[in-house]
Amino acid sequence: MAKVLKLNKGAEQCLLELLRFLLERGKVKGVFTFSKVGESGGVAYSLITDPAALEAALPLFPLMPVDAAKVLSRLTLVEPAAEPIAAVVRPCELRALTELIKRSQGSLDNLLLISSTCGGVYPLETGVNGNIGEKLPGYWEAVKKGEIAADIRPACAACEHFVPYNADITLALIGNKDLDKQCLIQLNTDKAEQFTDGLAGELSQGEAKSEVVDSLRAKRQARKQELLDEFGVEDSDIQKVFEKCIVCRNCNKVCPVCYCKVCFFDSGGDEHDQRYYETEMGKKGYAPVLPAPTFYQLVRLFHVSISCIGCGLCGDVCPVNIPLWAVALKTGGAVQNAFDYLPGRDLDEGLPVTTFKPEEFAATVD
Amino acid sequence: MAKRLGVYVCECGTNIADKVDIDKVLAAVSALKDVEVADRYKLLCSGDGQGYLKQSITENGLTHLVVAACSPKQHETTFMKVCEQAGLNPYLFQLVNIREQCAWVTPDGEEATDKAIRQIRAAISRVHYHTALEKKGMECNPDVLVIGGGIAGIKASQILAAPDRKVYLVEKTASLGGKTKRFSKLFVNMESGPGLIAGEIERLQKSKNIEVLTESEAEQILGFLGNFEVKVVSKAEDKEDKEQNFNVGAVVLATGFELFDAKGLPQYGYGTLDDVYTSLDFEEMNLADGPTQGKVLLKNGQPPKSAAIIHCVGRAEKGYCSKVCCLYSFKFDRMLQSQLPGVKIAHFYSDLCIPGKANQKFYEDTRESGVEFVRSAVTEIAGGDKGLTVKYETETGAKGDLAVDMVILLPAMETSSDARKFAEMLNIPQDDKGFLAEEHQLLSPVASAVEGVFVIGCARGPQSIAESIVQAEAAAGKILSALVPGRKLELEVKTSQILESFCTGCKTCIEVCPYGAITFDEDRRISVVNEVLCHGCGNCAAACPSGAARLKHFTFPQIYQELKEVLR
Repeated sequence: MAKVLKLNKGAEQCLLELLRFLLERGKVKGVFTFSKVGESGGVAYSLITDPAALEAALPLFPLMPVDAAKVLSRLTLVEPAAEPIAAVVRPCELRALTELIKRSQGSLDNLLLISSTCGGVYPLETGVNGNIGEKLPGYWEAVKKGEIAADIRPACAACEHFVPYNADITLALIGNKDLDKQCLIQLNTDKAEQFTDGLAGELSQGEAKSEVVDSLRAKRQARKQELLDEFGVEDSDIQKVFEKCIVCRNCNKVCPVCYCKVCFFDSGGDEHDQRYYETEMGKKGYAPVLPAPTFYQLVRLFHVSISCIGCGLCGDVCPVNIPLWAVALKTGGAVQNAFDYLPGRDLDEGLPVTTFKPEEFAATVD
Repeated sequence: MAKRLGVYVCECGTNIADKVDIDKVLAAVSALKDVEVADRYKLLCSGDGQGYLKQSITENGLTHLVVAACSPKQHETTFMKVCEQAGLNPYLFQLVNIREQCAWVTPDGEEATDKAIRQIRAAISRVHYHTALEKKGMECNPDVLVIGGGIAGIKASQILAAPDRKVYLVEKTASLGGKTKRFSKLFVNMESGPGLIAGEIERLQKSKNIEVLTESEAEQILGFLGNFEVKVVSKAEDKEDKEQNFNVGAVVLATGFELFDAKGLPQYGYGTLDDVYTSLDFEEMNLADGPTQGKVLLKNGQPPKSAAIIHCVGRAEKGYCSKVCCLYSFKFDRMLQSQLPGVKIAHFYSDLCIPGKANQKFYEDTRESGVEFVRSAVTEIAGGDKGLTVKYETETGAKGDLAVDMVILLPAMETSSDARKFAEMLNIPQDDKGFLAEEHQLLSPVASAVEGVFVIGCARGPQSIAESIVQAEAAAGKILSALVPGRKLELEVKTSQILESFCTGCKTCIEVCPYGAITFDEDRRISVVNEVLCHGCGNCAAACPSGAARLKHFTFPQIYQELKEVLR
């Protein structure tokens, strides 16, 4: 049974206090969180060990320049963290991390996972242009009311999984009307209770769930359908969707569940022999020369669909504005439904490719 | 070197020739790249056909061969042998099945011909990308480790031991003979169990090639068919633990069974009421060297005047019939009657299971001798001042009580506590009842999923003594034919390999490998294939997300080139 710790402070201050407490009491060696970099508005994930450095931390800043899962995977790939680290991550990042751990691409050992119900993030461009500050008051108002904040990324506006799975500690942000002066910290695990033992606050049994969470989920589901309809992913020609693609492979580089050491597209595996060009030209009168966008995008979908957690980074970094997040959401959703699999929900939920079921896809067997 | 391809279409008597226009096929493929010869033959698999093929390969200096004929199941190895005889590497050959997949299933002749052309073109395209593969042999150790010194383990050891094959028989307890030596009589011929075992042990001891290790346990078994490394620890009570290491080529698990713990079902009063015994307790009581010197006595020292035998104790809980309880219960009737003339016996059962050629008569004779059989849906044992009462309820719901002096329970047989240990040690699955699973229930009943490891007797489920011995003989036969002293083991050629630079270390391949052939190298953080264990199933190559796992002879370009021509 979860416990809830109530602190009479604004959400961000409260989270910073928790992090400072963990560092100062020596309960963790470091804090992994979003932090300011320089003065030009840059933000990045940092590992902070000095409590004073928490001044620069922005744990709830609504921007995602990189997926934390990718960074945490790198941090723990060769060996698990030697000493406890508190990691503040978004629900989708946590799901991606779970998927990577399932594939031995990191370790949760010694990580205290702190997440929150998530209001979404703004497009990278909003952060780069520097006008994100103007939007923040409206953002937090929407979080309080359980509404979809204006101008957040479409992938976030369409995200149903904004309540974290597998977090040790969950900050209940969505629907908290007193977000500026009061914060509810839900302790989901024994580990969370041990780490927060001694933190001043009002402790009670139960969950910090707001009824607004369900209504926000319904709003986001409706928005998801609207957005998918708008982009026409449902019945569009795959060649047309991808014809703008310049194969810059930004989507490949930012994708948190794309984890091969050597990418197929770096391996020479996509090179064709002359007979291929002859055949293509013989058939169509022309032959596309590499890079082949549709092939590239299809291979990507084939590789990541089962574990796509819909973080939306692919769409955010696309220089030619292909709604890649919508394609990923649609394709990923279909593949995951087919296997009754939700990526990132549970570390013990086996990957479909390694889970044997005596009966599966009976219709295709015949 | 320039490639010189030969394409040969077999008429297969009339099987292919009647449906497929072979001349049209030859015309369509003879002009393809590097095709040196394209020809037809009546029956390529015949002696003459093979001779023709061999000669044609040699005369034309062929570097690659495509044969369009029947199913690879039928004649792939035939034509591979021809290649070898002609000095051509047999993996530079591709067989196209235009009989089953074309002539026999495509009704229209023109369509069948077009399809045959497509398939042969695909094979020609594929064979261009074949590489020569070399057969490998591995020295093997013919020795065998047998675990469990019951009747199954003893019999397996006797058959396997030979001057050029040593058998290590490892037994956990201090003496051989397992459960059988504790059965004073054996059904159906009422022979003495201790007597039978004594004879078998004597035969065993005569062999110089069996090393019996009692009070010993196998602590580690690593390796594969032909080469297992074994660590056995002797744990004699009065001595220090002694470790012994040796190599064997095969492992036989004959770890036997235990009885379901009747204390788990309080309605039978076992452990709480006096004079309620399990079948093994009763066997013990009948042994000359047992606690009562072979006399059937109640706790008060008096002989019982009546006894109830309760069937199927724990059957519902375990979910299976132990198949020998009914049979040995009739033996109990004889044992009681011969010692205690006039004793009244009643069986309480829900189903009787008496298969086999001799057993029905055994049962009928028992019944005629005055033993009562009560079909009861619910049976309970109650205690009291005057003795025990069997409370029962028949199928029709009628309830009854029967006062008896003694109750004998027939508990289910369950897997030995060692099954899990060996399942984990050797990576062989347990079935849903906990017994060590066979490779295939029907087709391969004494082999396990791990090549070179066999499971016999009650380790794989309830068995009679005769069945256990049959299985010991079967496993021994398999081992004798697989591990011949001095002969090398022929290994699978089309194995998988994992490219180090591509492997991301996600271990997906390890999860999908059914042969335990892939291990993880922690230093390099990559998966590694053991070529001896790999059967070339290709699961890893299909599942690897990074393209690091590749199956020889089924490489990406080979499959791609073949598919491209099929779909062209």
